[in-house]
Amino acid sequence: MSLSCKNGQSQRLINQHPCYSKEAHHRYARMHLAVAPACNIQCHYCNRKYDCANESRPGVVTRLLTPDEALAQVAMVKTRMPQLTVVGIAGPGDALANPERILATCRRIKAEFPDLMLCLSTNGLELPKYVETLAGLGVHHVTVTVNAIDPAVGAHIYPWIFWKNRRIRGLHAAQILIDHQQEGIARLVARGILVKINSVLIPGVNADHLPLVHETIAGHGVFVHNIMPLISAPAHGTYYGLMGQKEPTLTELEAVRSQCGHVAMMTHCRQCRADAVGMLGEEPHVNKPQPSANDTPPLHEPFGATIVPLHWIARGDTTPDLESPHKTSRGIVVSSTLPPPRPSVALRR
Amino acid sequence: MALRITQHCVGCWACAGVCPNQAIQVVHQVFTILTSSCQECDGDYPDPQCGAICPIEEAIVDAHNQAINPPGSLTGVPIAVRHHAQSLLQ
Ligand code: SF4
Ligand code: SF4
Ligand code: SF4
Repeated sequence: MSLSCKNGQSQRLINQHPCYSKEAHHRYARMHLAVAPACNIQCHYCNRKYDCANESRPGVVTRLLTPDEALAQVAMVKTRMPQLTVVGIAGPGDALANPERILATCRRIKAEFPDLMLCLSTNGLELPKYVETLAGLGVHHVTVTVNAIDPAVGAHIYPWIFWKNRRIRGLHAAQILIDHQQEGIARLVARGILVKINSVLIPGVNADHLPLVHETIAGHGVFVHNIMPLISAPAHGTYYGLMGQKEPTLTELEAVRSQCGHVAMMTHCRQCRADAVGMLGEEPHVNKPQPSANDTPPLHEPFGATIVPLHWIARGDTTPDLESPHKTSRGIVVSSTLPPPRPSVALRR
Repeated sequence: MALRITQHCVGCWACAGVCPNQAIQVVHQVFTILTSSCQECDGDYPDPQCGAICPIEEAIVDAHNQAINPPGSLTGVPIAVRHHAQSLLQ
């Protein structure tokens, strides 16, 4: 893939990161740790009770890890899967809305496994405040979700944010969020931290706006942009789901992606869960969710379908093989303890 | 004067991190506010912090059982739409 990154070391690290490099995603493994529960904004595509469809967020159904438990999980997976190169902190909420937990986790992992690449994802609201800390911890990749650079667009995506001890709504909220995202991204790049941008394509809301978002973030020097289709099944109970917001078709997605050529586009993203372990593209359809009426299979395909559940690894049921990443040594094990794919009763309390 | 967390709570943890008095307790994902520790943020902040970050309508109520975030105030989903969706699922 062609990357705007000039630094050779970064190039090597990108090449080993399964989410960022098409080559790496069959050979290196990554895991995500669910250590950050809280979130400080609301996105219209997110139901905070359940797995978030668009960010790597397992939702509160997944058991939250303390920093010690997170380190123990990394140690266990590293023993069983030496090809583990990347540890991501992603959710269930926003990494930087939970600073103590994620900083402690990063510190502990870095001390024990200095070679592992740490990455985290954030909505960007608190990003400027933590850039220096993240750089000091050796965090190498940060994913920021940027759906708009114009508050008039953003206000249709984010109903409110929690900022300076207040709930702020509307244009003002979107403006603050966007300003912090942009400032945070610029400072990360200046500090030499790789930045990936996620954008959720929401037809009729930001579809026409995303090429401008792309140009802007490319100007900051981010290294990859991942435009993901909105998921808005009504059963997920999100605002968009309940209000009948349409998901993009593959054609619409391709149309927007084709207008974005300033930095590498990521096309192999599987929108994986935050408690994912394993190699992208490795595991077929094991915990594939039941498609809902308006799911478009080619787009939504593997929400979680590429994942080797942690307890398989603990049991030694699967030892992903570097040479033939499509096979597991004992085949596929379907376990009843897999996390529930998608809520079908999202509105029941 | 203290706030209370209701059955509507989804256990998202947001409130627990912002309470200035560590009044919010979590046991097995059940969130409760210790009445003796909560003064509704009086003297600390203009708004009760848990109420200001909670994403779920009716999850936090005051001493008169009035929701800090009443139905329709956070998500923007009209109440009728939500009731309709709920009835379809049941
Ligand atoms: S930032 Fe993530 S967790 Fe927070 S509301 Fe948006 S999608 Fe949900
Ligand atoms: S009102 Fe303030 S003191 Fe009381 S529980 Fe909420 S955050 Fe804590
Ligand atoms: S913020 Fe609201 S929904 Fe989340 S744990 Fe607290 S009371 Fe429950």
